[in-house]
Amino acid sequence: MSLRSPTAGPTAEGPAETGPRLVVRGLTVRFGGLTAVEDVDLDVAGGEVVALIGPNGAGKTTVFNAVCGLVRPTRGTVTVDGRPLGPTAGLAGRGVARTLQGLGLFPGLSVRENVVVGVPRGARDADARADAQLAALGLTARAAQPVGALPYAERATVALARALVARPRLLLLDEPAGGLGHGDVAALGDVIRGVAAEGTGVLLVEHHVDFVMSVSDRVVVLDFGRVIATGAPQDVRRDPRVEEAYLGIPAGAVPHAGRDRRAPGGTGGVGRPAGGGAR
Amino acid sequence: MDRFVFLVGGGVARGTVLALFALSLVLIWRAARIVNFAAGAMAVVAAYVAVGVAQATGGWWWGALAGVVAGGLLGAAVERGLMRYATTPLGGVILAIGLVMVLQSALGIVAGPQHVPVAPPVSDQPWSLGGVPVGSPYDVLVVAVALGLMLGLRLLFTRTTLGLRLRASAFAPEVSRLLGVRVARMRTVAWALASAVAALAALLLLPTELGLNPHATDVLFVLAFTVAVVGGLDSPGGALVGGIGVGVLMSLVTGYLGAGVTPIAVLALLVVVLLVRPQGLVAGVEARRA
Repeated sequence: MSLRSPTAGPTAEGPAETGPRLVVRGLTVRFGGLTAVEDVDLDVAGGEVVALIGPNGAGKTTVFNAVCGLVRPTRGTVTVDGRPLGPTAGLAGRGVARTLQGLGLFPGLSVRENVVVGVPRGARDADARADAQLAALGLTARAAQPVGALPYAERATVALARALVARPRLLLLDEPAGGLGHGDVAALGDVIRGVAAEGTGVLLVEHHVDFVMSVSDRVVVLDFGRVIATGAPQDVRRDPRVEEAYLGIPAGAVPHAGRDRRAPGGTGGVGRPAGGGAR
Repeated sequence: MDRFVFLVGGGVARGTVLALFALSLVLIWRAARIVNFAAGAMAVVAAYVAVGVAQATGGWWWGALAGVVAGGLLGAAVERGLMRYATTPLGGVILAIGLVMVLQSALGIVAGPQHVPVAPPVSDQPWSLGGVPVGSPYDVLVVAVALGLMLGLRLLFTRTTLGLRLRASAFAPEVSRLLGVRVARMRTVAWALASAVAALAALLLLPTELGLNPHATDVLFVLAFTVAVVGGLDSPGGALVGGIGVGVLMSLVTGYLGAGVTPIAVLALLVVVLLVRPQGLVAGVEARRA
């Protein structure tokens, strides 16, 4: 992937400042007696792609939901562009867009209508913007079709288009590669790099390790609700603590000894079954 | 055959009013998953406003306009002040039934129980075609207004961004909120629209009934509820098909078998549809699958 200057060009919605777009400090979330996330720090700068990975149950989704305001932090702060994030309804107004596991498309609406709903309120050229976004992702021929009639990979692209049409300053992607085939994953990586190149900060939660390593600038690894490693993809990949968390191999031990620490599925190099997104 | 044509003509006119009122129930069901059992009582309140304005200004059309506006405002107020706090579907139903009692009692106190006759804005004397009565100018007005309004609503929902946001909020409120749609406001808009539609339906019905009184829409509500269930609570098209179907059925049964049998015929239709197609005749077109 190409190198990008830290002062990437302005996004369409406003000038891109350097510096952190999303700042999470000391985030702790408890559900009753269960501590899902403890003392997590996380930064995403404009133009940067940060991946949040970790075994199942590590707290990735909880961090994500706390960033979106869907979960109230027990302690800690989440700020976007220096201001605390309010309730969910304010997300779009703050230039934050998010995709969902299971996509959350509107089944009775056409592809174009789904994307138009993502256009911010008050934008006059909603239809034109939606069409331009669909064209950019190669969905023009599908625009008038009901979204439910599309194969999964295309529906996933519609969900991405619906998020991108808002021209977000911060883009949150919840397992974007889940259920996608090899070629679709590669295309998705190109789209995400392109979005970041325009100055958008991207935070993604993902199981697909190869995809994460190819698309991210920085990887944050969670285990048992805590950050156990953070850094460039190649460094994180070699980190023994990460290997242990993922494979249950104690650092320095013989490979494959005592690998029953977790149920399989954490490393999922090939993504989840294609049916996984059809909820 | 003459009799048949006459009965069908009258049934279609009555059926479009039923369809319009049923559409009001469908709109609220889609937006809030609540069957608005107060729709009839709310429409009567709007009708009193309409009749009052019509008497004060001497113009039926001014009255109708005032009634529709009053219906819309009342719908918005009921949603904001009451239905917003219904956290379960059953809670919404119970709130609505309570509201019926309050509104009907209040109308009884303020306006009294007497029937206020309401004259039609155009003649309701049927035309004669070769000696066969085939429907009146008022029937034509009713059908034209009802169908025109339905077409307008269809355009609103399919061609405008507001309509799109209304549909999106109805399908998936959480996702819509995430996308920046003001879901609570959309629900208020849906209630206002639906209540305005119901007010107009009540106004169109009144000249063919005995007169305005606090219970003037009780039967209309029951029939429209039947229509909405027959057509599919989720389906505006079903409301139209079901409304005209029930209207014609009622007219034919009344004409050939007698008025006493009509309620039984409508109930029989409801039972048959619930047994054979419980989701309604036209449901499934935009059923929620998310």
